[in-house]
Amino acid sequence: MKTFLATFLVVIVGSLVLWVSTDEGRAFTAEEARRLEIRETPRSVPDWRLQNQDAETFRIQDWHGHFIVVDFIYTSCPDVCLILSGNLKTLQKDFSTEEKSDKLRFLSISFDPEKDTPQRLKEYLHHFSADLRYWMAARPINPSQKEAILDFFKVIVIPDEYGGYTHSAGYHIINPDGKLVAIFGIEQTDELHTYLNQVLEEKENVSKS
Amino acid sequence: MSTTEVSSKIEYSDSENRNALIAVKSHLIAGLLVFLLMMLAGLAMRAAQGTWLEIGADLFYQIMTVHGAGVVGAAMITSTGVQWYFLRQYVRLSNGVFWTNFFIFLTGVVLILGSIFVGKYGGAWTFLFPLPAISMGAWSAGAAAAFQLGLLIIGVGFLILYLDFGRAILARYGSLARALGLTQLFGKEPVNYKHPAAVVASTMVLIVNFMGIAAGAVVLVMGLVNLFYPEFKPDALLMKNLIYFFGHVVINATIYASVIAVYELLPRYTGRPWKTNKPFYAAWFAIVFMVMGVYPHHLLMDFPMPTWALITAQVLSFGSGLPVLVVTGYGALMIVYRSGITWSTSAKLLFLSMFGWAAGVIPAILDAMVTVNRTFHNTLWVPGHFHFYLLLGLLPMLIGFAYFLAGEGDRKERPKAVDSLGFYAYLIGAFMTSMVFLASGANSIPRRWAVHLPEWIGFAQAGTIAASLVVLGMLLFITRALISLPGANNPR
Amino acid sequence: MYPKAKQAWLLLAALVILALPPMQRFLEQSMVMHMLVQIPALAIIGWMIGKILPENWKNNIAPWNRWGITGIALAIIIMTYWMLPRVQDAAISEWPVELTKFITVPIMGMALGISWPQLNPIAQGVLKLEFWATFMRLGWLYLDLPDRLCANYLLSDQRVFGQLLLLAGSIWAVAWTLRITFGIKIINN
Repeated sequence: MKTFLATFLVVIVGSLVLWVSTDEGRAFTAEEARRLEIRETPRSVPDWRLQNQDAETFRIQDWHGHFIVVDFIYTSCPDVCLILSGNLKTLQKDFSTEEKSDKLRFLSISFDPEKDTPQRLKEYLHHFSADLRYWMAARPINPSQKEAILDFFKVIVIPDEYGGYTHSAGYHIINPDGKLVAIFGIEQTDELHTYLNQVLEEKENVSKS
Repeated sequence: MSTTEVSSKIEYSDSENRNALIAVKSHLIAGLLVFLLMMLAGLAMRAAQGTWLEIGADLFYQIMTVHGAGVVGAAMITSTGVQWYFLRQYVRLSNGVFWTNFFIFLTGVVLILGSIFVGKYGGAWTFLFPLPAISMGAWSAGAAAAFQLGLLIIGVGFLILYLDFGRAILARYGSLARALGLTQLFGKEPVNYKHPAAVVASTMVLIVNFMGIAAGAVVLVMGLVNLFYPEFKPDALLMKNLIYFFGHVVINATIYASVIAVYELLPRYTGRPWKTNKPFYAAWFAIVFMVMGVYPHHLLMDFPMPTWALITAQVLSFGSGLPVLVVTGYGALMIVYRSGITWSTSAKLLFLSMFGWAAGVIPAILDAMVTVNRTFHNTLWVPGHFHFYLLLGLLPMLIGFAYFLAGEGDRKERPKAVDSLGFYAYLIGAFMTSMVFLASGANSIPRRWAVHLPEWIGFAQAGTIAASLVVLGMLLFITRALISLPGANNPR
Repeated sequence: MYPKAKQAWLLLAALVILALPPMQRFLEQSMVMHMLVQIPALAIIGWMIGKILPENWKNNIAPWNRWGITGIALAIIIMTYWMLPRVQDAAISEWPVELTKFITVPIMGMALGISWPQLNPIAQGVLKLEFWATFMRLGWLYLDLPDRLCANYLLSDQRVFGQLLLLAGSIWAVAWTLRITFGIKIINN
């Protein structure tokens, strides 16, 4: 009897622990967990000062009132970042009508500030023929700030075997109130597109009324 | 361990024996009833192809799925009943484990039926990746998952049962090699003519089914992962290999489990013992590997398969039926020849099974020829091949055993007219069903088509008539079994 | 009593060595070391601690753990928990999770060590096959998944880990087959 009681307890408590630690069976990997967490509890983005491709200081606050899509890159990246930013370029084209492009901003943050000088950031943007009015590349100004930014977005960067990096690849959406509200994976570009369409339209309606 | 000890039988208490008999009867009745239902399902499909019955394509594929899964399940549970009944006389088996498997099996059946008729799953019992995940709206991922989960649960049940077999066999014989008679075959021990055939056959079945279930445990879960994580795309050919290894081994093993009834019952009817000998051991040893290696003869049309695998499959197919068949068929003839056997229904059925098994090899071997297969394999030739084996080889063994258990032999009665009608209706129907399938295959009529072209309809109608004869025969058999089985004492 | 006490100290020392930050970093820098060295080492330490627990402790546990089923249930739950990729990631970046690992994995080993011998041989057989199948399933999964499961490890690392799992599973299967076919023992009875 005691055994059945104990087993029953272990199984119930254990299942509960598993249930809770996978967010009710919805997130099994750290990447899924971070996306889910942001969706459910958006967080205000601190007002960091970054250095952009023109070596000017840039504050996230400067883009208050716009939707910002953030991706994390390093300019010597041979693979994932090219796809990430390549998709941004497509997005920029898709949303290039005057009224929409003004509401939407792109920010590519480098996590390799030692190598990614403003000059290289500029080249990176040119590579994607970015419209520089709405798309900026920037780097953190010191290592501790870099850590703070990566921690905030829960982006994990690890060195790979070719002297580059492997990193969480996604699109981080900051809303006009300066809150991180959604994260899309690199494979979710269609969902990202639909999402942006929807929120931009809603915003338009709000500003009209 | 002396030789006399090896051949002695296990003693159980009376209550254990009573309980065991109830368990075996439950397996038989449940299994035969499922067989009957599945024959009705088959009849419905043939009638639909013959335009005598209106069935929507989605329902047709649900019926096809349940027909496949149901027959394999019924074959497994019934043949296991036969096998267990005889094996427990030589090694100490647990009633509890036997019942456990039965109830786990029923749980799995409920899940599978639910997935098909509630969840509308119609992706065939072979759940070939990636079909269960791409139903185009016909069924949900949950339905496909319930189906695979049902199979997984059934696998666990049988695993438990085989572990009990393994435990009991090892407790008595020390190693599987010795139980298979290998020590005698290779001269480490003197040949013991009384080494039970049931133990040899059960050891072979235990080994191959254990491997099959292990493969199934992996491949079913990979399929489940794919259902919920479509990004995970396993290699489709590897999945197919594992699925066919699992499915083919499991269905093949049922006939090797049931043939124990022939070994055990023919000696009773003829009064001559079935002596095991070196060719017998050699045949069963070879079949362990052949049953596991032969499945690629269902993959001959998959051109990315390595050539060596296909050639091996062809060679093994040529050989696989033969060893046990020759030993068993020849043994059966020798034991019956001039023995003055009473041709009870049971004896007739068991003897028929030898013919069905022997003749069933021919279409199988034809199909397994790579060149023939390229044109035959997706035709009704293949259903012809396995219906021949199952209707004329496996089922006669099972029904023959049911007649034996119902006490036919004890009463020394001659077959009644009803039995004879049943026997001949079944025999003719089963033979026709298989031949119509084979003829359809030879005329390039594809398998798994819900709707048939006008020029094929004649075949389907002939198949329908044949199938109704099978159903009639089976109905008579089942009625007899249901009437006399429950109250029958354990045959002496 | 003396050798037992000595053994206990050795095991504790082993646990502390594994917990030293440089050792942790070394063992956690690759998936293979993390999953196939660090975690098994912790489990084995737990198993051995279980062996040298004082008799009266064991006697107190026994009525709650007849046939070993409570312990096995506990072990399976802990095992499943540490198979979640996000938990592995969290163990690297958050120290409370890491601490949980250093406590629960040895407990898992201990529970297994105490309960496994008491478990019904048939249940042992089913679990063994299930463990083996898990090796093969995960190995296959790690080889074929297009994406990384752990944000802290490289894709190539994941592939190597998958290959090692498949290799280990295959060796296990062959050893098992040989022993059952020609040996005396099947499921420790």
